[in-house]
Formats: sequence, C-alpha cells, structure tokens
Amino acid sequence: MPTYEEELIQQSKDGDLDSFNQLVERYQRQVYNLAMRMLGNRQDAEDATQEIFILSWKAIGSFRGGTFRTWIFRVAARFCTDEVRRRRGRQVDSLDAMFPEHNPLPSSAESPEDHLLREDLSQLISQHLLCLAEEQRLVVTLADLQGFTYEEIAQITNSSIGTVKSRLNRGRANLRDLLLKNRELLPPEFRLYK
Amino acid sequence: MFGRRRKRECHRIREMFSPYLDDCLTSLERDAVQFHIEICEDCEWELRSLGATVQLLRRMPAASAPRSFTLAEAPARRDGVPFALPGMKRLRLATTLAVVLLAILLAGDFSGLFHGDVIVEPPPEVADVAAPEDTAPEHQEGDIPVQQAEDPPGEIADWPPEATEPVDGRVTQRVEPGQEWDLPAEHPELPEAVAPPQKTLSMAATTSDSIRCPAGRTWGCPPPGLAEKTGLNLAQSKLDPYNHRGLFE
Repeated sequence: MPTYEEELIQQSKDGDLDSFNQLVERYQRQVYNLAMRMLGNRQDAEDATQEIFILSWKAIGSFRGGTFRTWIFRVAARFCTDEVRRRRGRQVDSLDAMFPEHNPLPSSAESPEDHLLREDLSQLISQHLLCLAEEQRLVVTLADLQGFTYEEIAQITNSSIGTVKSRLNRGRANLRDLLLKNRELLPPEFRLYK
Repeated sequence: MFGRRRKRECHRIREMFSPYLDDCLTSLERDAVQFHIEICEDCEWELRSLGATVQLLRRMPAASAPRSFTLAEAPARRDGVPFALPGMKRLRLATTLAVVLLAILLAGDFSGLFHGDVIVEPPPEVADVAAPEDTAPEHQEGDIPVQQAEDPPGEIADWPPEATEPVDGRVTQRVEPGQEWDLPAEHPELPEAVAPPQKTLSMAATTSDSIRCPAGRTWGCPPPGLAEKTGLNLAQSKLDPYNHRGLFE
C-alpha cells in the first residue's frame, strides 16, 4: 500500500506538476534552510532553492525509491556544495551576509531581551558556521539543524559513515573553538568552560 | 612512553564523542567513553563543551521560507542524474585523451612508425670471434665444443651439448686432461670452405702434451692433407692455446 507521498512521487514522474508542487511545499523550508546555512546569503539561498526544485523536477525520473527527503537533500547538498566551490574564487560582499536570517517577532513567552540575545547568538553561530570547511558545514547542518541520522547523511553526501563521524566531530569542535572566542554572548553553561 | 599511550587513548576516545552525544555507540563503546572521562579531565571538558555546542546548534531557530518555491510551469525534463558527479568533467576529459592516445598508438603500430630500422648485424668476421678471451674462462675445463661461428653469443653459456652428439655434422667430444682423444676411424669429408674454428675453443687447462691423438699425432698436428684442403699452414703457425688469432692471420 503506497503512502500518499509515494503516490505524489509517481504522479510527478508521470508529469503531474501539481503533485510535484505538493512535494515542494512540504520540503521547501528545509531545503531553503540548508541553502541558507551553506551559502550564508538570503538572496543566494532563494535562488539556490528554486534551482534545486527545478533540477529535482527534471530528474525525478531517476528516483528509484527510498526516502524522498534523503533524495531531495542529496540534490540540494550537491548543488550547494558546487555553488560554494564556484563562489570561492570571488568574494561576495552582501548586506544579507551580515543579516542572514529574518526571525519572527518574539513570542509572548519570551522577553524582548531574551529575544535579542537569542538573535545575537543565532547570528553568531550562523557566521561561525560559514567559517567551517564546506564538508564540515554540510554535515553539521544536516546532523544538528536538520536532524538527519548518520546513515542518511552518508547517503546524502555519498560518503561512508566513518567519514560522516569524523567530519561531524571536527566540525563541532571547530565551531566550539570559534564560539569560545565570543564567550560573553554564550549562555551561562558555556561560560563556565575554560 | 606512558604519556604517548595516554595521548593515543585520548585521541581514540575523542573520535567517539560525536557518536556518544548522538547516542550512536554500542554499549561497550559507551562504557569506554564514560570510563575514560572519569580519569581524564581534558577529555571530560572536551565532551562537555561539545555537548553544549550541539545544544546551541539544536536550539537554532529554522528560518521560514521567504516565498513559495512551487513551479509555475513544468520545465523541460531530461533523463539521468540532475547534475554531473564530482570530477565527471575531468574523468570525461581523461577518457577522451586515453582513447585518442590509444588510437595514435594503434595507428603508429600498424604503419610501422614505432618499429624503426632493424639493424641486422652481419655474421662476425672470423678473426673477430676467433678469440673471445672473455668467454673462454667460463667453460669447463677440457671442453672442446665445436660450434659454428654464427651462433649467437648469448648461447655460448649453453654449451657444450651432450658429448658425441652431432651438431651440424660435426662431433663434440668431452676430453678430460690426460684422456686419449677418440677420433673416429674415418674422418668425415671436410667441406670445401672450412668453417672457422670454434670461438669457444678452450684449452685453459689442457696442454698439447696432455692430449694425445691417435696414430702418434699430438694436439695441433692436423690430419694429413688438411693443410692442402684448408689452405692453412698449421705447421708453421704457432698455436697459442690462449690466443688463436695467429692461426688465421
């Protein structure tokens, strides 16, 4: 008994654009967030997300089953990695890079002060994520921000689980070292460390 | 010694920190990590700081999509992978180069481009091969192989063939020092043009005195009539057992 998503995938393979658009609506936020973390620029992330879904539509015939989320993230991860490498040669200066995220207004449960602190911290982490090597950035984003398992990350990045573990370990440690340089912005539990 | 081992152990345990935080270790590995951080303060700090970093990351809010990315119209489809695999361009270029190189090699091989001129060395002159002083000591003492001059030098080491085995109508015989040379009663007819003496004639350990020929002849005394047939005046030549050049000069 196929799931609803599998039916949508099959209809998309048969050329039904509406079915595919339902898949887009389901995954666009996650794909956009990955592009945002990888590219660090809102406009580039938007363009990349649109390109990723166009590529996915064109290539959905090559989807041979399995998890569609893993498949579409594979397309997204490959596109973003290529884009980062392509842009490495030319320095991109953009105001968006300084304000990479647009977070909604604070919820009623959060004071304005806490909201600002959280905004600062989020921006700090986003900036430091961009300092990691793209392989480490991708694995950290997939594991800690998107919640993929090691096996899924290995499929998405087309690498072994050992490589995933190693990149994740180094990425987290490098990010920790970068964050410790701005200790005053960190939460209290972080400030206790040497 | 102990410090180096401890450092290795710390490195091994730290490699397991991320799987430990993500709960992806076996119970044995988990125990090993917990055992180690109890005795190693540095690793304990490393684990706690990594854990705090992971918590910070997981608390990061996900940005909402700024707009809808649904497709208004269906772009033209294509088969195959949505993008080239990494290194595909380089692989394609390398394959093309390899095919072109192979084609050039094959064409050159068929047209004889790479064969060059084969230099066929003429048979060495008799005088040149008559006294291979460098090869003579390699032969067994007492060997008197009869070998044609045009034999390739590389086969000299294979000599001698079996005793009394005819080689091109000639007879090879192993004669030990002091042993009588058993010549056949009837000598085969010598050819009109006598082949030059064997280049591997070795007399390193034999002297003319130690080889006695039948009918009272000694070594160096040819059979009667040989001088007329060959045109060589052996009687007047001084046969040097270590240098046969004088025989043909």
